[in-house]
Amino acid sequence: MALREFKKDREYLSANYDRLIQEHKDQFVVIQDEHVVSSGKELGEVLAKARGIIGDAVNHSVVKYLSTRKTEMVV
Amino acid sequence: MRITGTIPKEDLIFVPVEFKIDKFKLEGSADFLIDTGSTTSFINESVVRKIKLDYSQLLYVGNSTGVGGEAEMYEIEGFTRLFFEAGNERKECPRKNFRAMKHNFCEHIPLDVQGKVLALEGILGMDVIKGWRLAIAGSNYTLEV
Repeated sequence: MALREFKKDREYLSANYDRLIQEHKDQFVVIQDEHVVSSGKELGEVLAKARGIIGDAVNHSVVKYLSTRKTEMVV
Repeated sequence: MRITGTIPKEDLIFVPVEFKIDKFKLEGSADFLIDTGSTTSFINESVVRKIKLDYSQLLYVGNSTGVGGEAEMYEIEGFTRLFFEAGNERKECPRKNFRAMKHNFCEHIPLDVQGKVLALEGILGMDVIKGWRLAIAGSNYTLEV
């Protein structure tokens, strides 16, 4: 059940990516139930704020960094 | 179980995974990158912090080396259970002593680069993938878990 909600939120991010990156440039965002519940530059603060709003549901929320810098990923 | 999808423009295949860590009774969901270039699977720092997993409760096993440098690797004692879903199917993949990565960035690493590295949620490396079948045809992929 939790994974289904997670998938829905990642689809929301994908469908709204262009708008969200304009609103949250180079920031972390936490998405839950198709809403951005927290955003900011520092991961710890963003997660703490999200946890204060949605509690342990943050564990299954989508957390992404919306970077405006195009970089190639080599892992 | 067969997971299918289209490779996005970033040319990276991410698979959504729910996971449960027996020892700490913690659970979460994360996107795992399918990485045939990695020998080891792990959850990355953003996920560790998201679920409030405490590094001090984990066993430090050494540094992991990649093209981008090194990072600390920790072992999560006991079983970490990975769950995959496709349609109405759900499959559990228990992994013993799963790993967690921690980064220590040098000052010269730009903040946005740090953000990108931190936000990588998890890696499914060859230790997990080698038991699967991965097929890529054009921009479509099929993963048989």
